[in-house]
Amino acid sequence: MTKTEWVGADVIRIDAKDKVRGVLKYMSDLSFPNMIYGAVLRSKHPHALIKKINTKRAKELDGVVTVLTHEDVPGLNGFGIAIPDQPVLCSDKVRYMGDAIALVGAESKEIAERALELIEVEYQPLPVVCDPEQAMLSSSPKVHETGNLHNHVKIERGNVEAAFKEAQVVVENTYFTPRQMHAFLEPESGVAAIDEDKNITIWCGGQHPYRDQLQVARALGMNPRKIRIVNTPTGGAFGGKDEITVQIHLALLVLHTGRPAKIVLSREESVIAGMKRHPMRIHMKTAAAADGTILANEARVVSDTGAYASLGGPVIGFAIEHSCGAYRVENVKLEGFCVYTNNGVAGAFRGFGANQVTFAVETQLDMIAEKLGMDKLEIRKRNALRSGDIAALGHQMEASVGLLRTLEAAENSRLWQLKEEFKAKPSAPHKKRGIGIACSFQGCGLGKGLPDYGAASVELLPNGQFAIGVSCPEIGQGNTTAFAQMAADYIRCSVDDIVVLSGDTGHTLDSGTSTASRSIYTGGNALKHAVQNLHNAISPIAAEILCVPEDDISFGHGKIVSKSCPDKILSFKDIAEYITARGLSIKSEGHFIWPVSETELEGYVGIPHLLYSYITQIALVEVNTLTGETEVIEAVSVPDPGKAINPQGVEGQSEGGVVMGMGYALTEDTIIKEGMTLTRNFSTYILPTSLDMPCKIETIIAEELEPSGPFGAKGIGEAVCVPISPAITNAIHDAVKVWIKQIPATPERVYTALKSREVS
Amino acid sequence: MTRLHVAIPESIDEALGLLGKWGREAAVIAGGTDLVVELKDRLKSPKALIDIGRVPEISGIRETEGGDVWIGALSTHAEVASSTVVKETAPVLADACAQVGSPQIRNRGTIGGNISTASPAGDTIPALYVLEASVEIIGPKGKRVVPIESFFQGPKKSALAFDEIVLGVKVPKLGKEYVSFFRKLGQRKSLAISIVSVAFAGRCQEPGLFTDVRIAFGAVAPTVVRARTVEKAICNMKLDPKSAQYISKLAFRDCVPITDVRGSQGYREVMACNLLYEGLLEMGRVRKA
Ligand SMILES: Cc1cc2nc3c(=O)[nH]c(=O)nc-3n(C[C@H](O)[C@H](O)[C@H](O)COP(=O)(O)OP(=O)(O)OC[C@H]3O[C@@H](n4cnc5c(N)ncnc54)[C@H](O)[C@@H]3O)c2cc1C
Repeated sequence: MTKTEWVGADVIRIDAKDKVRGVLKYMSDLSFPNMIYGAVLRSKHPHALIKKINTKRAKELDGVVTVLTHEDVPGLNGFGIAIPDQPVLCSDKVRYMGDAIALVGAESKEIAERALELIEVEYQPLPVVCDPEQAMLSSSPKVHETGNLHNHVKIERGNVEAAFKEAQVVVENTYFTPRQMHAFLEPESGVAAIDEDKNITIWCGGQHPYRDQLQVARALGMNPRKIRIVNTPTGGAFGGKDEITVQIHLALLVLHTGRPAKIVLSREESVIAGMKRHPMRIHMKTAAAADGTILANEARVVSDTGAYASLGGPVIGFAIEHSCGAYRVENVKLEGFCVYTNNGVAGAFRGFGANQVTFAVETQLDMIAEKLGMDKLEIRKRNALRSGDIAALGHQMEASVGLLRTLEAAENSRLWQLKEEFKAKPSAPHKKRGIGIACSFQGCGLGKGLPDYGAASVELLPNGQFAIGVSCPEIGQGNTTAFAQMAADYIRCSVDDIVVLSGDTGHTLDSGTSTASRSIYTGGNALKHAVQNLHNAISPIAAEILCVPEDDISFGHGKIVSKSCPDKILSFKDIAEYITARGLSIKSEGHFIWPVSETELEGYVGIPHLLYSYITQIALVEVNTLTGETEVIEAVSVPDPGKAINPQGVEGQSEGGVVMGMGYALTEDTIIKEGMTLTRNFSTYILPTSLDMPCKIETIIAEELEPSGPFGAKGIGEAVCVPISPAITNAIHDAVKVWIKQIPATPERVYTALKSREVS
Repeated sequence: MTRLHVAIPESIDEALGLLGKWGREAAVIAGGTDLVVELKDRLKSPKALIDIGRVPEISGIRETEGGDVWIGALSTHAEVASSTVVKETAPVLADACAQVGSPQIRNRGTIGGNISTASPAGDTIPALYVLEASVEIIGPKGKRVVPIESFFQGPKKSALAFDEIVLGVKVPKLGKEYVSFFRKLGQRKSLAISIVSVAFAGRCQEPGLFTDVRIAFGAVAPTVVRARTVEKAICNMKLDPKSAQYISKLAFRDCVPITDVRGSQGYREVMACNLLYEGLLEMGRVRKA
């Protein structure tokens, strides 16, 4: 590969200046003349039949423009990425406290909120389904008529029973993981407008503009072409804006009133109505030989998807795929259940099911290492997947595998090398220090059986610059800057001459989602093809101008040169002027279809994956034995993203990921009791603050280049937040010798564990 | 739509006049960090807000002729935490104020607001208890002074009548031979409401020997409480790490905590003991074992 000029450099993010100065306009900052404000009436019960809805008094309130109910949904009254089982506006039943029943449009936000109080809904409460295990019993009340078991995954390979018998060690435990919240800075919000021809534009944070378009069109019973979705810029998403949030409600308001509309959820409303990470109960039994080789892994995973499916099905599949860690395991018996309850809704969230099972399997591995007296890093090296290996689901690791590389870099890190010194110096005698390590891998892309494709466009602008278009939205991760870097190196121009169009069905081709650690790989590959086509379009023109044969044209360093006569040079601006003068334009497209694993698991979609990113993370903690408080003092994060297109961007992802995974391990949980959310805002939902962050997070990028990736890139947006959680809980064990089997490891949980250890 | 009237009096008399006029329909607002939350959650729906932020008689921190420190109700947590006299003569209060919320909250929230809210988890209150401070109140009938412990009557209930205003707190100085600490256990390091908090002050003339011990706990009872059982036990006894640990276990005797999303009753009881023990250890005034 030729040397790159922009790829691999810390190019300053395109949006950095505007974000830092606070001038960037997010969707909820937009306003239009004559705009109305929308507010949503949510359910008063976690589970109830709706007997009657009366909007008369609300409609009569001064300043109310419209009050809409299910009767006003012209198309399908449902949405959902996998199956549209969530009503846009409920007609006969509510299944969680966030269910929408009516929609008010009014002259002001205050009037809209007043009007909500005037809507009368008659409910017939039903018993609340709150425990996923009990929900699966035939005696349980049903959340959906089809039954409470939404999805079931079962994979068996080899003979676990035999392996358990011959093993040197067997560990068996039950783990519990919390309902983490995405906690994006910008809550679900947006604006919409409609023109005389009933063309609707919706500006709303999201992760897949074309699917939003489809879901809106379906609910409105309209041609998708009449709906334009703009998702960029999104003020944080993390998976929580993959599903529809307020798009359909906005569309209904503009359709019924002809006026622009705005909806901004309050934080409390976002907490109650929005997506969460699936809480899981994981029972795991793992066997190993005397040398630490994992012989078998058996897992039973029960996932609480709440009231509606969204991506609960794919998440349980993904969890099963990752439930043996990034290790070679020949005998597996893995079973997953995705269950409906009245506990909010769960869906996509950075890590997509890997976080939960990685916590379990990485704890199991440490227990085994301890029983065998083995080094914690050594046992991971021993079992690490290598290229060509067969992974847990029986599929071959056909693409680049960087786990060992990350483990070796982690081993050489200052923190690991000096670990005994770090541990020897706690800040007080009653505080104990420990170091923990954990690994994981993360399937990139949507996986086998789901159409996964990308498209990009490149246009030569009249001033000689280029407009590139990729629809994967900028959700804060920095993909627009990476697209510009890759495009500049493909085109062979300056990154400053690239204008990026992103996340807009009006201006970009469908490149799929900004999810699944896929946008760099997809967008980059699509851009590569688009630029080939662009070069093919420019070459004959350059040849014509320079009077040389077409195959004599080469592209290099911002210019177009004749190979045989190197003083014959053109700039892209020369080409632009030449074609503009002739009324022509050059715009090319590139399309890309994801390669998939050869293994087919009958009956399942989304698993297995072909491509994975890998990561090893280390945490140094200090535990206060008098209070149970855990402080993460330092962390090391060693991701293998394939080629790091923008190393600073990878570091940013890595540091943010470490803190997100730390919150998951130590403090964050959306507590729901009897269907009611108890932690309704950030005073009780405990996100880490800047003071809680480790003083130091060292990121070491361990690139294992992927031949099929653009410049060797894979993806890294998700893996960075995964193994740090068990690295922290393993470090707690190293410090105070208690195994954490339920996260978050709050001070009270750690203290209680410490005490029960003392007693026993 | 309901309208909210906002008045910004320039003197205490004007403020009292406005309170008299609006009566129970009014709410006094200082930094607003408690009140605005209550308004948003509709726990209160006053017709008028009386913004006392410009009333001169309730601002400032100074030493009184009687040798006490007077802290005006409008003093923000940031001001109290950085005040030289407070740091020198009542360091436990400066420590407590430095641990309230976050920089933004400390720059807006006031000590007057913290006591008037009368939360059992209010962080300045345990410190004021061990300093044996008193609250100066003014109302239609004039001024009165209430000892800090009599001021609080229950969660969000205090001796303050609806037509009264807190002028400030009077804090007796801690003598040079006193040592003190404030420690709070929260769910994270900042922006944390106390699960349990403890303030300690005691005279210590030789290592391990304490007299005039005062200990108060927050968030373990309907109001902040003095822990008199353990206070008595610590007095006049030579403390080493072992006896400190043993004696700290008496802390729970004066605590009647509840279970909520932040912590269980049982955990709070033990934490009251352990925070006290940890504070005693970390103060470095316990005899070496
Ligand atoms: C994010 C956040 C974090 C917080 N963290 C903490 C914390 O860590 N520790 C803690 O203790 N508190 C905390 N608080 C609560 C609050 O900040 C403090 O209690 C603060 O001291 C309140 O002061 P204020 O001036 O803002 O009060 P305001 O909100 O203005 O008033 C509070 C109440 O007192 C009354 N009032 C105020 N001043 C007077 C007066 N002079 N006379 C009579 N009545 C008066 C008001 O009418 C109102 O009822 C936090 C609050 C928030 C929003």
